[in-house]
Amino acid sequence: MAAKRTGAARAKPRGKPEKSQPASSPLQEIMESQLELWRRLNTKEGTDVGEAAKEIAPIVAEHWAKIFDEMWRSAAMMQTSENPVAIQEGLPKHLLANYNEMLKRVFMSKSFAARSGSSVRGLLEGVKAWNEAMDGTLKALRIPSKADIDEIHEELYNLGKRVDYLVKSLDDGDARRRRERRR
Amino acid sequence: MSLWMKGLDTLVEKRYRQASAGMKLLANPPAADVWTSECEVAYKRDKMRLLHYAGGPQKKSPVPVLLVYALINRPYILDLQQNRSVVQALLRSGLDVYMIDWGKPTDGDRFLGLEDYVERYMDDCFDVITERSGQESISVLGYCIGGYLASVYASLHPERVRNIAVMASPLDFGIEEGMLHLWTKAEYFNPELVVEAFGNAPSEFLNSGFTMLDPLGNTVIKYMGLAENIEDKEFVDMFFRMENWLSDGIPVAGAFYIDLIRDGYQRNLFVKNQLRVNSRKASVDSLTMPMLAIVAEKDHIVPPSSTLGLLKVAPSKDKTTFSFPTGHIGLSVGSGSHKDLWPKVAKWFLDHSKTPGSKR
Repeated sequence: MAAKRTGAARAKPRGKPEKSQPASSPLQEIMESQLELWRRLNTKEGTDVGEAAKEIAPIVAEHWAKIFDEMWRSAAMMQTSENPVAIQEGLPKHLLANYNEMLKRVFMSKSFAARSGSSVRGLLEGVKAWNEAMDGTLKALRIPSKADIDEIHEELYNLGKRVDYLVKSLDDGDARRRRERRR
Repeated sequence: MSLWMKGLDTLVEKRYRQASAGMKLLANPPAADVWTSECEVAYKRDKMRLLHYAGGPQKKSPVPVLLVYALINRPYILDLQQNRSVVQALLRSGLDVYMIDWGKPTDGDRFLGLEDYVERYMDDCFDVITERSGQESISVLGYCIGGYLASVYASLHPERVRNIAVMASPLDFGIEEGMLHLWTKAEYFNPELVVEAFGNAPSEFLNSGFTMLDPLGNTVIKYMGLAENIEDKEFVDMFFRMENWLSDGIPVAGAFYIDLIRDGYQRNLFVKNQLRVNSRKASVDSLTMPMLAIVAEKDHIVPPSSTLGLLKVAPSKDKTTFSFPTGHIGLSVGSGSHKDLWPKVAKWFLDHSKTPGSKR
């Protein structure tokens, strides 16, 4: 039995894992993850992520540089200031203001607009699907659904407009008749 | 080290005072009443109310001013607090003031579009005001989307609008500034989908977008400001009034939402002179009356260039711009605006209401 176990061990030499197995060394793991990222970036989604990163990364980097600058500056000032507590107290405000500006710039990017647009679209499609399912259920139960009530609302709205038009025509007719009588 | 201890002492004392004031505030929050000025309902149709403010001193002008508020949030932001009320500022100057309260749309109002707001509701308000005042034409001041409504109305009925003022109004949607202009581009956003999903555009949906325009300013930083000023009664009262107003959002009628985003933000039809309302052309060439643009230099909702864009294309020979260093809402409630801006606006209306226009 022992000899058989040894033979089996020889059949699968160490250091050469099968594709399905995780990489056995940190270096291999890094290479695998890089390759995986490269594969994903070659897809449409991957390209979009890459483009977004290209647009947003410099903004984030710039603001984090400012945030760290402010922190080091405050730390240096605290050593010499007569009121170091006030400097420390003011620091979070500076950091939040800077972080706020960073978020605004990120939200103002085209990549964010595209991503948030598709998220909102997904959410709205979900709400629509839910509404349709509810409508179907209510119809099956012979209960008026939202679609039925919307239809009534639309009818009432159109009716209101027609009444408005008729009233206006009558008013105009009255005014015309008054003018003719005066003549 | 002693400097640290001294500073910490002061800080701890300050935080203790703020915490005590905070506890008191939690126990007895301010009433934060809104709708400050007395008024009567001059006209009502469906959910819309036309309010008439009659509490001012002797009138210096027979030409009334109609305040046209936006369809987002409630109009009492223009009458939030006695010393920060646009209504009061105009009344004190001797003007006769009316304001439209559009009311809160329900599911049944989802079919109300630009045409209904302009040609039905606004036109009715003009009928009532001209009848009551004996004037053929009146002045109008539109705030935010209200400025868009007022401008479209003025372009359709120039003979009824003596003067028009637009305040922080999105009018030229072709600009490449501001997040709303970017997010609403046709390639990213479809307003029809919002209406298909919800009927009207819900206030929560709109507010989430507005919050993102100043993400931390509208959340963390705002409350840090409250903590810092919690012992200042006037600040706290104002803060609570503003919070009341901000949380009192209303949905936007579905059809109007589509009209605004599709024909406004995405196609910019009005400034391009291609907008049609009830099969009539809303021509900017008709805007020959005196025009005033009031813009906020730090406006992150409506960039000043969007408001000023209409003045560039309108043929009026009397155009004035008041630019003020504040934000979108600061224009109507900021202490600086009430000290320096509103007296100038009131004077502009008075100066431009001297020519005869009475029909009696």
